[in-house]
Amino acid sequence: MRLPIVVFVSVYAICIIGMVLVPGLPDSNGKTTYMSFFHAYYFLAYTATTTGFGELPQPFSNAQRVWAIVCLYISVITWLYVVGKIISLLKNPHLQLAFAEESFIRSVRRKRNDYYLVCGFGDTGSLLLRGLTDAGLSAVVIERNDERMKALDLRDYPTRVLGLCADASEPRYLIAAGIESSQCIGVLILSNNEEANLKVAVSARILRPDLKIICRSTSVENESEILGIGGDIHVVDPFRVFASYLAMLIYNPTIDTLNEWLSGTRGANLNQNMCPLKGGKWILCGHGRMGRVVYQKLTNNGIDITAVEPLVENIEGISEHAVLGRANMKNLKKAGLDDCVGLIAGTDNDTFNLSMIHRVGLSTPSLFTVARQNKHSNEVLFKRTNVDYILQPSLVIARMVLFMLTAPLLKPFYKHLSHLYENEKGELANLTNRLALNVGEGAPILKTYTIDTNYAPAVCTMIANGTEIRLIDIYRAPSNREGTLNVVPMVHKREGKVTALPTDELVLIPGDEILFCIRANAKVMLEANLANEHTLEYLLTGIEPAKSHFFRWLESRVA
Amino acid sequence: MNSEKVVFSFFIVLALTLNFGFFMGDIDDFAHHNIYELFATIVVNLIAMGLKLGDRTQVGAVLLSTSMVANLQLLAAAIIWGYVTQISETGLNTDNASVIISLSGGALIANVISAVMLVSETLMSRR
Repeated sequence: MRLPIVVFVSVYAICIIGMVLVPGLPDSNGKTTYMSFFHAYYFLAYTATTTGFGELPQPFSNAQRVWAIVCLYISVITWLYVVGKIISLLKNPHLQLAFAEESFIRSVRRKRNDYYLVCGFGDTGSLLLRGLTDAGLSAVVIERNDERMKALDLRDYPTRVLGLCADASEPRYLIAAGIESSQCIGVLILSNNEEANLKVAVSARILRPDLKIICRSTSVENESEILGIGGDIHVVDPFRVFASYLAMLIYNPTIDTLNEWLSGTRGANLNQNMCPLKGGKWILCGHGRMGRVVYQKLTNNGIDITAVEPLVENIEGISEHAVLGRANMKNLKKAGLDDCVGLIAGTDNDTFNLSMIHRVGLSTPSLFTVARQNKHSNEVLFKRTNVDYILQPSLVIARMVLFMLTAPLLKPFYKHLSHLYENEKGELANLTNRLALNVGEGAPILKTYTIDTNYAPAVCTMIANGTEIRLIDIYRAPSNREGTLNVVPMVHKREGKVTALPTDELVLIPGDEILFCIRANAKVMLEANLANEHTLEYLLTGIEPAKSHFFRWLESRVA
Repeated sequence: MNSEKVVFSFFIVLALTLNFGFFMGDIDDFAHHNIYELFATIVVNLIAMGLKLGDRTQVGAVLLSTSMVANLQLLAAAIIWGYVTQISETGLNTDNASVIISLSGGALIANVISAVMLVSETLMSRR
């Protein structure tokens, strides 16, 4: 940039000096006039920029006209040269990146609400961001891939999501994204790169020893290393989560139906009764990294399973339960297609999974088919095929992380569910019926309420006044206190002690946390119950309290 | 039926209706506006404000503030009326009549908000 500036200044200087020195027309006394510096600069300013403004300070002499021609050519050329340089500089991708980073840092610093830092905006990241923003949480994204970043700009999230195109494993970008700020309440590391994830996790822990970290990892070695960092850290392994979902689907479909419904999957409802499919043989296509975990998990659950895998090194050790070769009809027949109950198309190639499901559907339509969908963009194709169940690892992970963040109390609830499933199947059916009846068909809202002055000011005031408030009281319907709102309290937590499905008679104390499953239109009413003293007092006593000083005075006079 | 609700709603709605009655008519012709009606409006609005005192909920706070706005505007209108009829030489002309009426129009808006909040809160509780 130095050369253009020097050339620019020199050309202007030469032109101006020339204009001043060249003799002009004689004045009325016959004396030769000269142009002043101001007029020379004025003339050059509109000539060099090719504006060609027609006003002349004084009529030119021929000598001045000759010099004007010279000025015009050299100054216009110089001007274009300089402007071209400036434009090419502004178009430099590195400079643009620097600008983007600067504005990102400024926007992050201006953020006033708590946010999560999301590293990696792949399929999982984008699904998770949708869920996070829908739940009213805020997020900042770092993603390495330029194309994905452009995709982020086009999303219409309910809250604004800031994004930076950078490599999150470089600590300075983590700092740029405000990891050191107390408003950053968690780091979610979701990229596909194991090494990078580990590095981000370590840097995040060093920068903020108290921060919540959730990290994606698919290898056991990496996982132990990540967990070794210590502090509030969680690892999600998409393969293992995928495998346990599959196992749950085969072994325990009621819980799976509940889970689908709680996650708000479109079209999910509690009435679809799937019967367990654990009796009978299964075929698993693909015994790679994920297939191995699935095979292990299902075998542990006592499911008879045969793998079909084209690579010989992948089926070492299980060769008696495996067929070597591509999953074509011949090999599937060899694996026992005719007398099996289900087929899992679990390779990491969507085209392959789709064509397999399609072919099997033509020959044995009664078979229960499960397909693994790797790319979110292939959703249309998977929906069109006749597959019974689609499992999408990125969606599974996104959901799991979302539940960890928005409803951490849900995990004990699931534990309780599987306990019920093992021991009291009737109870599980009762629970499903209660949820279906009280909360209903549409997607429910899961929200944890803490009995504190922020969430439940009215409840706190009442308790401080010595009133005994039971759990049932806070979700009675304000229209009829004998009935309840369309909510179900799922989990109660007090001083680390967690109870699934607390009883209605439970007496609340400040600091209690309750996870509610709420029908979408009942949320406002429930929050009004917690916050409005008059409503709460009515729910407790059945008598509308006097609201203002005058009526309270009147009441005391009458009584 | 709750007698508190009856009294409370009665004064809020009466404040609105009286205010509207005074506001109706040409804005610069005081023949269309009755000074006794303005007096009644002010009295009822003050009573309504008194009834709203002491409610600690958010809705109560907003209801109170709407009443305060209405009273501020109506008292300003009354003061202007008193000044032009008793103190100043001009008497009631079209200029100051339109000021008085437009102030009462502002109070009308505040009363409308108050009534809308009353109705919506009643509908929300659905009992």
